[in-house]
Amino acid sequence: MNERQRMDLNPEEQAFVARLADHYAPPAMTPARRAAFDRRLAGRLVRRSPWRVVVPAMAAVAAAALVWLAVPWSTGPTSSPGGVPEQVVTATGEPSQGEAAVFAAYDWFTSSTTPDAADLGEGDALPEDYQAISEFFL
Amino acid sequence: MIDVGVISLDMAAGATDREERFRALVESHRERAVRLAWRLLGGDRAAAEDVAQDAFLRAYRGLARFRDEARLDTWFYRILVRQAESHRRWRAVRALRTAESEDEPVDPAPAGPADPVVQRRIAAALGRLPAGQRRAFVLVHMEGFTVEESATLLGKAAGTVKSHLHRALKALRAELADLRELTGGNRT
Repeated sequence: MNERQRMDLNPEEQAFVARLADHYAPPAMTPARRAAFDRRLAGRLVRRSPWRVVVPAMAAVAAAALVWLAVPWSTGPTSSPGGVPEQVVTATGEPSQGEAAVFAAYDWFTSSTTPDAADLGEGDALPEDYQAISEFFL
Repeated sequence: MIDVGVISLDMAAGATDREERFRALVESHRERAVRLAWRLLGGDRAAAEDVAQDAFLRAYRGLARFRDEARLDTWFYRILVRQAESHRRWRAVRALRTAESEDEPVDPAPAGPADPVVQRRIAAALGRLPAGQRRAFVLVHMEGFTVEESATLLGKAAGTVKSHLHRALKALRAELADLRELTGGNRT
C-alpha cells in the first residue's frame, strides 16, 4: 500500500489491510515458472489467430465488391471509335464520382480501424478482429 | 528474458522497436501482472497466467501505435484489469451452467508461507464484494496503485474509487474480523 493511501486509514486499518495483502498473494514465480511463462507467451505470439486471416480476407472481398460496384457506375471503360477501351478522366483532375465513393469508403474504413496513440492511451483494447483489420491496413 | 526476437511477425519498419519495447514491458511487469490477475481472480494461478498472457498479447498488438511511454504501464494494466474481469464473468457463466460455486478455491497447494485456508477466506470475502469495490481494494490496498491511477485503470472518478475503498474495507473488516491478529504471509 502506498503512503498516500495509508494517510487515509487509521493505524488499525493500515495493519489489517497490510495483513490481507501479505497473506493474499501468490508465491513468487520461480525461474523455471518464469521461463515457462515466457516460452508460452512467445508461442502464442507466433501462432496467428484464425481471425487474423479471415477478417482481412473478408475485408479484401468487401473492398473488391465495392470497387466492382462503383467502377461500372461512372468510371467504367468506354469504347473509343477504334475499339480500344479508354478510361474516363475528368477535366479537372479530381477523382470521379465513383472513385470518390471508393476513396471515401476507404477513408471511413481505415479511420475507424486504426486508432492513434491518443486513442490507445485511453486504454481501449480493440477486439482481436478489429486489431487484425487495422494491422492489415498498416 | 522472453525471446521475441526470433519471431517474424511483420518486418515493417518499427517491428524491431516494438519487440524491444515489448520485451522490456514483459520483463518489468510479468510478476506484477500475474500477481494482480491472481488477486482479481480469487487466487487461481493458471487463470492468472492466462489472463496476464492475454493482456501482454493485446498490448503487443497495440504497441506499434502507442508512443506515450509515460502512460504505458497504466495502459497495460487497464488492459489487464479488463481481461481479468472478462475472465471472471466468463467463469461465472460457466459456473452457472455447471452448477459450481463461483468462489473457486485458491491454488490447491500454494507454495509459500501463506496459510491456504486464510487465502481461501480472503478470496471468498473479496469475491462477495461488488466488482467495483473488489477491483478498487485490490488495486489500491494490495497492489499499491494510487487512487488516481486506479481511477484511470477502472475508468471511474477518483471519488468513486474512494467510496468503493471505504465500503470494501468496512465489509472486509466485518467479515474477516478474526483475521486481525494474523502474522506472517508473503511480503509483496
